Amino acid sequence: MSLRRRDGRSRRDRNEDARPSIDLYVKELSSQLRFHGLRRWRIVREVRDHLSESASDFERKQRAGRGSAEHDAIARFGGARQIAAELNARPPAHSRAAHRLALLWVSWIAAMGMGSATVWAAVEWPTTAGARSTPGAVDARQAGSKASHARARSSRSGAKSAKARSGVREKGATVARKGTKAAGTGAKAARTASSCARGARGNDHYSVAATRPRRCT
Amino acid sequence: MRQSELQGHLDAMLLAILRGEPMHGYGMVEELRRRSEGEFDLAEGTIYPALHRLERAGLLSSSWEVVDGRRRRVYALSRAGREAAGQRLDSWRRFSAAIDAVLSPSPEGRP
Repeated sequence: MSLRRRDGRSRRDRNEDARPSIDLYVKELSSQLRFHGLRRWRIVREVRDHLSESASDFERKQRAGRGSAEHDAIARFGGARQIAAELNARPPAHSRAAHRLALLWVSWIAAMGMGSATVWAAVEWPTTAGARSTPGAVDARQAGSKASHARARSSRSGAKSAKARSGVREKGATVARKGTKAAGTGAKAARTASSCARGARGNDHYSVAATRPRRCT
Repeated sequence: MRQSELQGHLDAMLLAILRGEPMHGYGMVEELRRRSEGEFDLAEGTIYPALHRLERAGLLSSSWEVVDGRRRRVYALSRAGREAAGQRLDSWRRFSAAIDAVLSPSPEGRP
């Protein structure tokens, strides 16, 4: 048997009134939502603010107690299940299609970016003066390398080796100049190509100190 | 007026209310009640799914602002929303005029 007071209400009834109705309502609404994160936080915050303001208005206008004001605000707001069901409803098909299209677009951009990065990383970078390898520079390196191999062959060939080496050097340098011109990326790239060609003529390596030794092949 | 009758027009009404000025959810409910002179008494919570839907569609933008010492989510029409509000108003005027003509035809209009 519950203890009844002068106003005819039990202690349990009074405790029910004392419970923060808005908090309970918001908790119930939150538990019904099928999405998480920022969106959930935002809707919960909005609903709480709305109910709180509505209750305050009712309290002021009707000169009612906070408990009954909160109950009234919740009654006017609508059932938590109904509101949650509407919030959980999937967006219309055209909206989903737009979403998918946007996702596809972002994925494509990301794939292109990664592809470019991979290709860029595959090209060897000389470290002198921050110059970057360019297609022209690569051509020049390849040409220089060919020149180096040819030089080796010619040195084995005997009497004409000196002359042949000289010719191959000239050829390597010419190709290097062509490669540099083809690259068209400015003075840095040109320096890189020339450096590479020089390296090819010399010891087949870049003649610069680098953290990682790089070959001209 | 019944809730179900209102629901179909809720988006247009919210857009129309926001044509005046940016507003938060509770303010929109109050404005809706004021403009309809208490006739439209919908469950207040139903505006939030509508507002979020309109925002996802790019017709509204929203941000947290402090109004009268309270932090509130304030909604405003985007450019697309302003155009959509105008289109829906035109569409509604044509529709309501046609309905009105059917429901209460003038004596001259009768064959």
